[in-house]
Amino acid sequence: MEDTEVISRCLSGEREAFELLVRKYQAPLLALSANILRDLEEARDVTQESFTKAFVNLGNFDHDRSFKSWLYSITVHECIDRKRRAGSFFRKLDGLGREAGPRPFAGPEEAAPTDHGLNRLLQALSPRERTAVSLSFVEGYNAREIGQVMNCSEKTVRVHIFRSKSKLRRLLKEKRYA
Amino acid sequence: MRNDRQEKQAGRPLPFWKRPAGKQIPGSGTGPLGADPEVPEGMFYRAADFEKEDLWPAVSERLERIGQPGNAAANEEKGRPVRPPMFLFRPVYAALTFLVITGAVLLLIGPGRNAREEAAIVRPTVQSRPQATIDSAYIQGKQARVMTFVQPNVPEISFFWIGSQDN
Repeated sequence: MEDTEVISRCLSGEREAFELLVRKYQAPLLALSANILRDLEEARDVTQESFTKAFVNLGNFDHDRSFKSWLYSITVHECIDRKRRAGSFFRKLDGLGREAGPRPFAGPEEAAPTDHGLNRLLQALSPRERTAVSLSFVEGYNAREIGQVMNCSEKTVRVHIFRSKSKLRRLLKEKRYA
Repeated sequence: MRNDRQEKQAGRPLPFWKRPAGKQIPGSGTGPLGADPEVPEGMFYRAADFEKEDLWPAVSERLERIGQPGNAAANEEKGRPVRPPMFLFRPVYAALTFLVITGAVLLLIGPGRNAREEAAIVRPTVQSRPQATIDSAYIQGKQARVMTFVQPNVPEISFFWIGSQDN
């Protein structure tokens, strides 16, 4: 079933239809938010919040646009916002005494294919850079599509990706030859 | 711009971020990635890593509290409630704004008014105004001028300078 058809059903009051969208996009959305946040619990929360926001704003969705891109856009902004709030002075005060840094995976049942080495290197990137890199390498999006998701120009996306690559290359080199 | 296949055809190694995970050593273009214990196989989470996840129960619970979709659009049509600027919700900015505004009010209004009131109390009459007198005196056999300042509630201050007439 097409996304637009499901959205129309949702808007006509059939809330259960939204389940189809959640089940269809939950895995890629989780991967995207996990790539940006590098914290699985936070990523789950953000993904749920993104679906909720999408549901609330479904009436504003532009049917000429891809629903997936729209959903990604909501998730990316939610992730960046979450990161920004996490870096605020009071949140840091609140977090004093707790274990520092993100908690990538809780147990062995949560397979963590990326939870070491390069995963840590990715944390050297800013959330926006991680978003651009993740959308480019994992989703295969081009600069224009990433720009639409991140609400910035193609040029900015290219700058983000270029900087990310340079940082990763430098960090990998340091790690390898140190 | 060439795509991956064209790059391969040209005989050049792919950049490390485009290589399949677990196949290549970043930067070198040769050898299996897994051969280096320091470099793990994957770099990014992929959708396949979360195939077993089911967020619908949690999302459904959140949606229960919202009601019907498109509520935001309805709110916009009705006109959203006017909220104060977001920065006022941030405690640090709010505290700084409060301090700046309070300080400005105190500086501009408070002290000026108090000073005027105080002046009215301390110097109600002409007699209590500060006065200065100049006298002549001989200090160590030389003529000197002594200037004395007298003002209410302040110790008497005297200056003197020795003239050069007798030298």
